[in-house]
Amino acid sequence: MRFDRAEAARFHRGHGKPPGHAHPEHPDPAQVARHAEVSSTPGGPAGATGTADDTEAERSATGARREIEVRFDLLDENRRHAASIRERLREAAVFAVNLMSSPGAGKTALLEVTLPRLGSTRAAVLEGDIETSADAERLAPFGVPVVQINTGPFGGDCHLPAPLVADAMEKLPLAEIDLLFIENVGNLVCPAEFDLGEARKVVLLSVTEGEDKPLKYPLIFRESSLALITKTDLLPHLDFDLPRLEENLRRVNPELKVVQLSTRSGEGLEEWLKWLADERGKATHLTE
Amino acid sequence: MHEMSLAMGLMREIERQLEPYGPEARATRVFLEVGGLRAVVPEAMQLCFRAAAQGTVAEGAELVIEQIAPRGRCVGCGREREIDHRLFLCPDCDLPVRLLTGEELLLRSIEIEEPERKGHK
Ligand SMILES: Nc1nc2c(ncn2[C@@H]2O[C@H](COP(=O)(O)OP(=O)(O)OP(=O)(O)O)[C@@H](O)[C@H]2O)c(=O)[nH]1
Ligand SMILES: [Mg+2]
Ligand SMILES: [Zn+2]
Repeated sequence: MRFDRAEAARFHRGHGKPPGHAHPEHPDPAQVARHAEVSSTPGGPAGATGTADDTEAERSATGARREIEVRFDLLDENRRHAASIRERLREAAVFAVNLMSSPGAGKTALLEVTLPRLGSTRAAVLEGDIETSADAERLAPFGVPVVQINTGPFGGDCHLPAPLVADAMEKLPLAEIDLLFIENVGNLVCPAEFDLGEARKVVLLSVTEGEDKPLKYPLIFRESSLALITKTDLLPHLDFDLPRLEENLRRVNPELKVVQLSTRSGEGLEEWLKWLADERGKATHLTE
Repeated sequence: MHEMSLAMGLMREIERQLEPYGPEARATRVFLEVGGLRAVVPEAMQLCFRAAAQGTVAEGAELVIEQIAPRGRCVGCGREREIDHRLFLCPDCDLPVRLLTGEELLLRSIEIEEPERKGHK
């Protein structure tokens, strides 16, 4: 095995599968057929960065080079899995919500106060974590199906990828579920890049995190339909500029709905539950 | 950081693309387009690419990353502009700007090398 884990681990804490051994998907004939040959090799696009390859001279002496156009979207593979998840959820009439935030913004705490307040709506949870099953254990008392997904062993520890979610869904009785919460891995960057086939993405941002987060990490706020500003019970103790946060949220996503919430004081809980019910209503209406 | 999982997906596609060219074909340069709104750090991507390429047809290949600036068009006045300072609101109309570029994550092309006298079918 020649995969240099030590080097990769400096940037990535995962245990990546050596790519040479990762079971490759069957080549998609449509994609193979997409080969279009480009006549000449461009000298690299403007503004491009790259490292010099010291074997280049040696290589060009040994064979003929050509450039083939590919136009392959790196997120396509994840997107295909997400599309099949979306289809399964639609067939089973399950409304799925992907909860995303930095570590500790209050995703599990939100579930702890939400699960007992859903009335006749039958819920289930997929718990994404790098290593532990602590969050799944916190949710055990609520008597809803909870499936733990640990990303550590899959070389993608910073976010949930769609294939892992698809596997975990196999363990859920989808026919007996109306509402599925997916608690993503705590991270404000990577989860935003990976579609999980959910109906809605929700981002949580706690008031201890700083008003500039939306400008620093715009993607997650752009992908979400709802932003929950959490831990608002702490506001009296903090020097937090709420209007500035709201302005920053509007700047990156003018259509984002924003709700202030505290699992301690109960502020915003009703509004959150109403949003859930309304959005689920819309989604079910659309598919009927 | 998800550059490693991206690099591994990239490698799977490169191997798939090179398959029709026979077992001796190698990737020598890989051209990637990355939109400015993607959370991809070029240096991390380079490192992960090198690590993931080991033992594959792209071992030792050069990764060329072209960064694409985010651009958008205002839904009100229709003016197209670069989205700087992460501003998705039109400064003239205060209306949303629809994204035109900036979210790319595209393996655009691969430079391949085939041994002499062994052209592909
Ligand atoms: N004051 C206050 N603390 C809260 C609130 N919600 C959560 N917390 C606390 O914040 C800490 C983290 O909450 P969690 O619910 O575990 O956060 P999380 O987003 O699930 O964290 P990860 O799963 O590790 O990413 C815990 O100590 C909670 O008790 C709140 O509304 N107010
Ligand atoms: Mg949690
Ligand atoms: Zn305008």
